[in-house]
Amino acid sequence: MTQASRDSPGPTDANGASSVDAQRVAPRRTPLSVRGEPMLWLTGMALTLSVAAVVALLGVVLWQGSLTFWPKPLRWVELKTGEAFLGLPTRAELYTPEPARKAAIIKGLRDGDISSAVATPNGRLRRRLYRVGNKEFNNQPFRWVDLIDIAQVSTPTNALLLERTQWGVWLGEPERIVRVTEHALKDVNPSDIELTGELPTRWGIKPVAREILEATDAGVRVREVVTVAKGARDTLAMLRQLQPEAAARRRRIIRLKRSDIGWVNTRLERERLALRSAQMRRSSGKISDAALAKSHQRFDERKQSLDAEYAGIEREIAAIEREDNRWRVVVTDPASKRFAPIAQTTPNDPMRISQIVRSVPGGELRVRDKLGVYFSRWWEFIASAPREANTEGGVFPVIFGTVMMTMLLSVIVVPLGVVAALYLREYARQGVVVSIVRIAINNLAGVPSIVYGVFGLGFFCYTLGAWIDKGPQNPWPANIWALGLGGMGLIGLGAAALGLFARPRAGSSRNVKQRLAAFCAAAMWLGAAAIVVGLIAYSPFFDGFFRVRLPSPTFGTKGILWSSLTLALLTLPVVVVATEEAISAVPGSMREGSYGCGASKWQTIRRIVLPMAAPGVMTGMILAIARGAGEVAPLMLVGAVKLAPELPFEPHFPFLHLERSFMHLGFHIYDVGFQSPDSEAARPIVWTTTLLLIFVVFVLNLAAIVLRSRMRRRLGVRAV
Amino acid sequence: MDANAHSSLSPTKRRKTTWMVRFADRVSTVVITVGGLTVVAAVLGIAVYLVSVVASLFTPGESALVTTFTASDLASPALFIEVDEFGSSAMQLTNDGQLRLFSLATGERIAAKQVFTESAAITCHARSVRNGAIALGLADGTTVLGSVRFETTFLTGDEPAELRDMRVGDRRQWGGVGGGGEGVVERTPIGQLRVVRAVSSFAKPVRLRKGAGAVRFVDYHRAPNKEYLVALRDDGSLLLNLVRRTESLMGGAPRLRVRTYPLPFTLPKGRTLADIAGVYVTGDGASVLVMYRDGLVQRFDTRDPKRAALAQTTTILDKGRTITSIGKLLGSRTFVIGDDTGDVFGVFVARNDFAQTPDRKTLVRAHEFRAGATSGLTTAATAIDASTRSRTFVVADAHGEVTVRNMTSHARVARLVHPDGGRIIDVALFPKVDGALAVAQSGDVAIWRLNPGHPEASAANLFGKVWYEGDAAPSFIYQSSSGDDAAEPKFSVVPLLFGTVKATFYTMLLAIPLGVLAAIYTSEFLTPKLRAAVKPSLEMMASLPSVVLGFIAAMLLAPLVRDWLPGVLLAFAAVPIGVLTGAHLWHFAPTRWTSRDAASGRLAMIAALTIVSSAVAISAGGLLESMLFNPSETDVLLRAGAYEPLPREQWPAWLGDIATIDAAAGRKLRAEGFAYRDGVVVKPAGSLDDPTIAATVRDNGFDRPSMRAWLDGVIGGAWPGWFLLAFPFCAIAMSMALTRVAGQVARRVDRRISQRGEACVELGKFTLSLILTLAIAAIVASAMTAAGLDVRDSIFGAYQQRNTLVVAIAMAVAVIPIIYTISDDAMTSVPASMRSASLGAGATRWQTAVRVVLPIAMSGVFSACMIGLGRAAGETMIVLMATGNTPIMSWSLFDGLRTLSANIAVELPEAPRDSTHYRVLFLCGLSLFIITFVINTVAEVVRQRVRKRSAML
Repeated sequence: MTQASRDSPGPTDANGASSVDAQRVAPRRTPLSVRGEPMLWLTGMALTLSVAAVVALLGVVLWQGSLTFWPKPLRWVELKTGEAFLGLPTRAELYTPEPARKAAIIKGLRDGDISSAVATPNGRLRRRLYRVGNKEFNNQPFRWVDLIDIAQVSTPTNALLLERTQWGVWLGEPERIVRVTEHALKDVNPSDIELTGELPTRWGIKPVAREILEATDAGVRVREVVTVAKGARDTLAMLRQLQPEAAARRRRIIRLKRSDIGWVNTRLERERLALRSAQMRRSSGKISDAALAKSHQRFDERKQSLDAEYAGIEREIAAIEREDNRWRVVVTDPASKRFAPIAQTTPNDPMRISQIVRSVPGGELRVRDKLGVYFSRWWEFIASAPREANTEGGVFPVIFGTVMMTMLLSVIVVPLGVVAALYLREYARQGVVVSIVRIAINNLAGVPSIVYGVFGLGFFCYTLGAWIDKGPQNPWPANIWALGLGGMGLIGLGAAALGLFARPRAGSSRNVKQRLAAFCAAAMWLGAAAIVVGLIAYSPFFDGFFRVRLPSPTFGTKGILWSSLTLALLTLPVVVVATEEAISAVPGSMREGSYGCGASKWQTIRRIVLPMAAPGVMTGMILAIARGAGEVAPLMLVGAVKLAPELPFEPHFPFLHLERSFMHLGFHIYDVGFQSPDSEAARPIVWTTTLLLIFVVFVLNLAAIVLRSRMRRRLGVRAV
Repeated sequence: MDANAHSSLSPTKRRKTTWMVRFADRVSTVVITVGGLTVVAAVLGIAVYLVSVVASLFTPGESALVTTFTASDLASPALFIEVDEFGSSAMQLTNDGQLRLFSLATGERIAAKQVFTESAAITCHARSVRNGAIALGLADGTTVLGSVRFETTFLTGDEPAELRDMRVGDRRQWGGVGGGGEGVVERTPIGQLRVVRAVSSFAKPVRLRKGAGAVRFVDYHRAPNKEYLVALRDDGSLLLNLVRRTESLMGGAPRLRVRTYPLPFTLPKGRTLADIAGVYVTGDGASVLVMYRDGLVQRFDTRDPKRAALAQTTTILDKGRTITSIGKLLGSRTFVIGDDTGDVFGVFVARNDFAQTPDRKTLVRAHEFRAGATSGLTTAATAIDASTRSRTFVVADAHGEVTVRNMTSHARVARLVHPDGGRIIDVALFPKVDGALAVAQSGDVAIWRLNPGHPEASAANLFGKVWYEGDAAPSFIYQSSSGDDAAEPKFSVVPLLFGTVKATFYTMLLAIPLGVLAAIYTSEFLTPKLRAAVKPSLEMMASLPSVVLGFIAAMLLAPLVRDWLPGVLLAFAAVPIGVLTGAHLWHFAPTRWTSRDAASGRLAMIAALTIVSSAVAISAGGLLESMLFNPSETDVLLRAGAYEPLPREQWPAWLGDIATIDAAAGRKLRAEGFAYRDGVVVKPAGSLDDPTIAATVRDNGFDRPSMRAWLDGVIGGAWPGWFLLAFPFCAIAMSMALTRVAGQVARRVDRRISQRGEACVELGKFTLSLILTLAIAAIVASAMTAAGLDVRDSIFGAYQQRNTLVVAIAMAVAVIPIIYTISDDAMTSVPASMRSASLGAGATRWQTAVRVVLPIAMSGVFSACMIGLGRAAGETMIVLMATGNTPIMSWSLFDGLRTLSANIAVELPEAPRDSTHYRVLFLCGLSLFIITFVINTVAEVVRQRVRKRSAML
């Protein structure tokens, strides 16, 4: 103890002199300076700031992420210039206008011409960002408006927000729903066709308008437009009724196009590769011309049948699309009086109902309806594929890719980690070397993840992957290879013989000679192993598995397998450390009991140690998965892409495509948030993705914490 | 085993272990041992692999003499020799216009053709480095533009019968069918037949409009959209010609339109045209150089050819030397000059803001390759050739020595010795730098195969300063790619290392105090209940994906800091001061509040105070701004554009010896009442009363206090910066001094003084020390300002939106949980007996925490900091998203940066495999690996020691 504290007696006074007349002298007070209150408060401040940062961070993500899908009412904004538009308020901010305007505003504020609600006293203006959508006709789907310029804001009753399959949202007022059909009439005089009239439909008698598209001698092609609903209210009701059918048609078309046609294409590609393979074998003289001709013939036959199948699917798609094309809805932008078109190129043709993903009434909704929209949006987010360059739609492929990658990762990392931990704890002789290895493994947990990415790209993708694709770069000549094989055999035999010699008699320990022999044997084994690696890596008899696809690489590029392997290496230290901890926490008495009953070492490990260490292994695995789910930097290099055309899993043989690149939640955040052309539109999706990612990582971590505490309780020890 | 059941009945039978069990045991031992060792080896193999990839950056190139032959044809005087891309043939254009093709395998002449048929003799020639474009100067005063190059075609369709038996790698001379010309045919590895032919085409002679007599010297640079031709004629007229090529829609030869501009060229005293070594135009067409044999160079400024002028006359060689050969590097901006002692120099036109030249550029000798330094022999450099794809060049000398070097990195790719040992008259580098050819005077030709390795990178340019083409001075630059193929690759990893260190430093400056202090509070003062809630939630933060932090930093934090900058800076000082004030006021609180049981009340107070003072500080930023960052009248006038140029002789003297006007020089000028505008020094003119100036000032807000303007260096002096910087240091020094005194004071406290009285004394002391701190900071700031130093050269600087401050805050959030958790663990594991003993001896809880617990846990805390440091150094996503990723070297808190990790993430996906760029990125990865591995090992070793020591306690 230092001078100060010895001299400053505490409340419990141990000073002999004062205890004599303790009655008279009041206990001495601790001087304030030694209470260290100021420094103590500073430590408290540090804690507060740390916790506040955490809370603020999570709060922001939670707030932004969970509010994204909450439906907000549309606004009809009238500007002082007389212009008006329909918009969805997104966010507001203060900004500094250009100097001249700023000066005018400050003056206006001083004179009382400008209300302080729209500007701050130092001339900063308040402005609001409106999402105005209607990308076909508005140059910008978002629009900043200074509050000072706004004359009036009202909530339109009939407005509708359409989330569409393409071109983002459309804001407008529903006008009517029409059914468009085209007829080819034979032997009809064009002048006989009534251009307007009425027609009985299943919704009663409806007005109809006809248009002559083409009149030839053979006949007339007529387009018939039946208005099945008119006015905002009817249109909305009818839209509700027709939307499920339309959505089903859309899904069916997508399925036919993606899955069925995709499957035909896959098979066609396979046949093409088979043919190319035959051609390559022919040019290297492995097969005869006749065999090649046979392959050609087989290819032609298969191609013919596949083409027929393809045509069939196309016909089916065409039929559905014909039906789909009939149902149209006219939703007009009240400002420009233009309606949502079917395509950007044909602005005068109203959109199909099937182009609508979701229609949200723009006015004030009941809470129940709002919740309905909210959850349906969440469901779409989780269960569907992204649209519009990832800025809309869902993240299903992203979740799928993340989950699949982490599953592969855990399948790889757990056995490796457990074996390594078992070796280090149970088999290796504990000494300097093992503790150095242990420190090294611990340190690898601190090596930046991007370094693993660099290694993964260089080694897995470019070296191992390229080898799988096309075989060794410069193979050994066959005779050298055979020589290597022989050498390997000789060295192996020698090592085995030395090993036999080095084995001590039962009950005695090795003498010097035997030790030397054992050392030599080990060295020879290592040499033999190195030769085996060389024999495999430089085999002249291996031409690669995917030579026919070259020069486009199959495994020699980014892929989910390489990502999983890279992350497995990255998380291996985590698993090894956790497993080692768990194994060392298994009480020695248990082990000794097992040995005492006559169990062998392996039996003890399998029946006693591993089951008791299982929660620890699980902890390690979950921590590894959590890290794998949140890691981005290495994945940017070895596998994650902004838009993977195909999932790494498909319902046809061979099901798994480990060579494919994939989408990943963390990378999605980076990519959509920073690489997206329309960052304003992408922002909501990024927040929700962030929320999702944080949720996944936290749940996994929580699971790890719970498991760890359970294990500790069960074993009754505190792991180091 | 159910042996026990029988044991009482019969004597125990000794049971044997079944072979299955033994087998399983043996197998598991082997599997686990082999598997475990493999895993360990694989994990450690990462480092080995990285090293193996990086090592080839530093492996010197290889070379081997392939063949020599005597070919008197090749040795006959010729305009140039060029080798084709595959090293199969060489072509030569002779003085009389004959194009000859030689096989490089045998030296035999494959073909010869008269391609140039003008009557006048060729007097001089020049080639453009890249595309085979050539200009010939003729004796009749005309020039001919054309192109002579190799053309590669593949034989498609049926293979000619006589070539069918060719195997992969075979080469043959081939006459071709259908008059395609002669060439060399080769079977490629994928089985195609590839034909390489020399082709040439010449346009009609161009009659130069000015001057008279034969063309003595000519230089030609042809780029996709511009062509420069410079010619020196016998009458001493130097002409710069701009060639415009119009492709005719109908096909056929393009039409050439030449505009000729005479340059104001006069021979220097005592020199004749015969002394001229060469006339050159730089690749950007902005300068024309006339080089004399003794090293004198006249440079003409031809940015505007109509107003061309002699810009400078300088000497680029040492006295007494003579230029013996000149070459042009890719892009024609750097010239390789060899002299009669074998020294070789790289010369280019460099920017220099204060050069006494109209274009503010000057010719510099940036690269020097001294012959004596390597070989000891000094003989004249007789021939130079430069690569058409990289900045590698080859120099041959009079003793048969041929050296291949890279200009940027100074790396020597190979030193080749011609077996003949005689004077080498011509040398050619293969286009892929995979071979070289040298012709000796005797007619012996030697051909070498080269494996250049990675000459663009060497230890010198990866880690040292390099004078890059056109720059004012040598510098560290990282710029791996650019739009221009001819641009110099700049591979200095120093800016990246710097960025990593900078980001880590500022992060740790924030994270270490916060993390460690928070851990002290948690382990020593927090109630168990709160602790159980706070610690896991902070631990959870350690696993927060950094991409989330990066996103939030870029989306929310960066705009926040931009808008509230003075407030944020103020908060760094105001929050501690506010909390300390609270602590001193807390002394007045009744004892029952401050007792141990009521600790959570105190924490609530602290938390409230922290948050309130942060909010107050951030919103009070304007106050700080108006106190410190007011513009002076000069600043306002200069910003408003009211200034006039200063006569040259009144310029400050120190301007003479600097090359560029950077921000620091600009501020120094302004401090003297001047400013630098467009190449001239100006001084303010006019007055603020002038209504137009006043209006400009008012409209733009030039007279308002502004921290951003101060950071940009356009207003204010050095004082406020020094004051801001000095304040925290003074505060720390003051508090340390105070603690030393505190012990003394505590001993002398009059015990009759009431607690309230003592609290008053403490508060007074605090207030006094605060005032003293401010005063000392002000004095320090005045002293530093008087010394002429400005903090805006270092930690303050022009404001970028994605800056280090934002990154430091975001990374601190990532790192604090790690430091916090490990430090807290270290402090918690200090045995309770130590605490009890200390408290029992009468120490206060604070004294126990600081003098007992912290020293014991110190190494644990240290290792926590090291682990946090490791994580900060390797963090990728946050820096990638929250900084501008600009590889600049400035300590400024408001500049962007680029770290090693972010650099890898940005560039590796695009880098071609096994290229120099790829390997440089691997070098970044390896550096990162080594840095973090060392940091973590130190931390781990320290932690192991702690574990041993705490086990003893």
